[in-house]
Amino acid sequence: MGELPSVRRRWQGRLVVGAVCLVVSGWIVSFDPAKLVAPTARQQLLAFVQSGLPPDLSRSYLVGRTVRDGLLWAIVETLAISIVGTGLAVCCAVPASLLSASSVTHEGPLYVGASEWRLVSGRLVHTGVRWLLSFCRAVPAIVWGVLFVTALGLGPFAGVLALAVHNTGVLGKLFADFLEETDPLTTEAVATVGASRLQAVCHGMVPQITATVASYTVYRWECTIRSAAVLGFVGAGGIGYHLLLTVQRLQYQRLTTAIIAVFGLVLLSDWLASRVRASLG
Amino acid sequence: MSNPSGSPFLRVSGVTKRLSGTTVLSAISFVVAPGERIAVVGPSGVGKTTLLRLLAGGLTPDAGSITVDGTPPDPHQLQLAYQGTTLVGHRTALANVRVGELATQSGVAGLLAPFGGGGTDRATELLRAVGLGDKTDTRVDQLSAGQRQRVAIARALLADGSIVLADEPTANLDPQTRSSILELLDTVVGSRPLLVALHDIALATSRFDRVIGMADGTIAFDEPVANVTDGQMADLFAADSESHPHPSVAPSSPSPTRHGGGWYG
Repeated sequence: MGELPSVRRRWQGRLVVGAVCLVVSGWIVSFDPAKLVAPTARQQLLAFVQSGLPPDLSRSYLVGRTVRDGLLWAIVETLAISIVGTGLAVCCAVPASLLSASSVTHEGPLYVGASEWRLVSGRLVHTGVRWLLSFCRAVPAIVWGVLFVTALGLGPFAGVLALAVHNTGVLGKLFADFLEETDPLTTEAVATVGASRLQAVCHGMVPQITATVASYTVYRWECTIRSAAVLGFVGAGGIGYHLLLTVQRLQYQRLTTAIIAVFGLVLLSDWLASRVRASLG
Repeated sequence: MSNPSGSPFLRVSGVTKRLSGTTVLSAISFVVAPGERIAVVGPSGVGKTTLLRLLAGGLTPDAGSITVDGTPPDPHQLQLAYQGTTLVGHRTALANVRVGELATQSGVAGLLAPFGGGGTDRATELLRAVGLGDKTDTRVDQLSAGQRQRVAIARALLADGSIVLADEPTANLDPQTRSSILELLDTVVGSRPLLVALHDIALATSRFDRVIGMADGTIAFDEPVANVTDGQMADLFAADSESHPHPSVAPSSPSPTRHGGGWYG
């Protein structure tokens, strides 16, 4: 019971530090709630909302002249970018996670009595691939989008590659962490049967995580839909391009439609993902 | 060392093992003669499982040596039936048992083998032998603890080592199944040596040639079963202050970390 006051003091200290950070950051971003309720701002917001209503549901906007320039096509394209992007990311993340999980490369039951040389080279591969994955992850998808649009030109393919690279970094690290958290005794039981390392990984370690990997992949796909929706801002295809165009051309009724479409897309992916996860059990 | 029967001669000398800072086994020495049936008994936490894992090659000793017929054993010569908790829950009983074939398969076929169905092979036979003939396609996480135990035994038997080890094969089983499992081990093992870690004193004295009593990482006694006295057994389990006279029927043994009264400190 004697330690309670010191615990309380530590928490008081943390709260003070937190409050100071909050105030300083607020000053840096010129936080000013009064601006929101100022009469001119209110009028402008109201005008903006009014000019956006009703949403533009005309056939020429939804379907377009050649189908490929309509909003519906952009929605389909966004979905397609997220699916191919996530698929590519999984294909790269699986081998990358195997090469960067310490339990696969140099630690645990697979390396009982392994040579020093084997352990050192395993650790090198592990560290190298981890760094590579960190880099892929640290650069946001939209920045990868700018790079790929510059290199390959405008269009959804640049968006696919941007999502694939960034999500390889995310999923690769995630899968590697799962592999490192597998039960070592289960792997040991497979290894001591006389299995090779690769066999022990395939039949001892990987089956322990397949269900988790599948469910996180679906979750990540949900996230890529939201990323895909803004990739169009940098010309990498999808619905983002429509959002950008309508803002630039002051077509607020069309903007409303596009925003509703993004919202619908996110709801749809939420629902789909939860169905898939439920079926994975 | 000549060995006309073809059954191997296992020698453990001065084996010591430390795990995360604490000495789990210190200077363990014993021999297992061809065809011998040995029970390793003692309360939880005395190092029985660690000893078996060292023999199976899942761990390496910090000191001492393990030899079979005078040479270090091949990776799969000593086959340990790990506890049922070490199976892969998301896979079927049959897939888990077929992991035991991995030693004899290599290349792509070896990687894919346990994924395949397989109808009338030895894995199915062994599952039938342990009483799970109707559970081959059931996922392991849908089996009871006792059924998992039997799947783990079938897996080790499929691997076909020349010396068979089993870690608490009777844990979580009802008394009837307990003796039937030991009977099964007895039959399938044949003339090979068998070393079983046991909690159950009655089973140890009724079905084995020799009993090794372990206390606190060392061997307390190592006697032919006829020479083991009730007093020796009682001492063994009394050494564990919080243990019970019949640990095998107690709901669960106290975890070693709780010694020292963490609740009151």
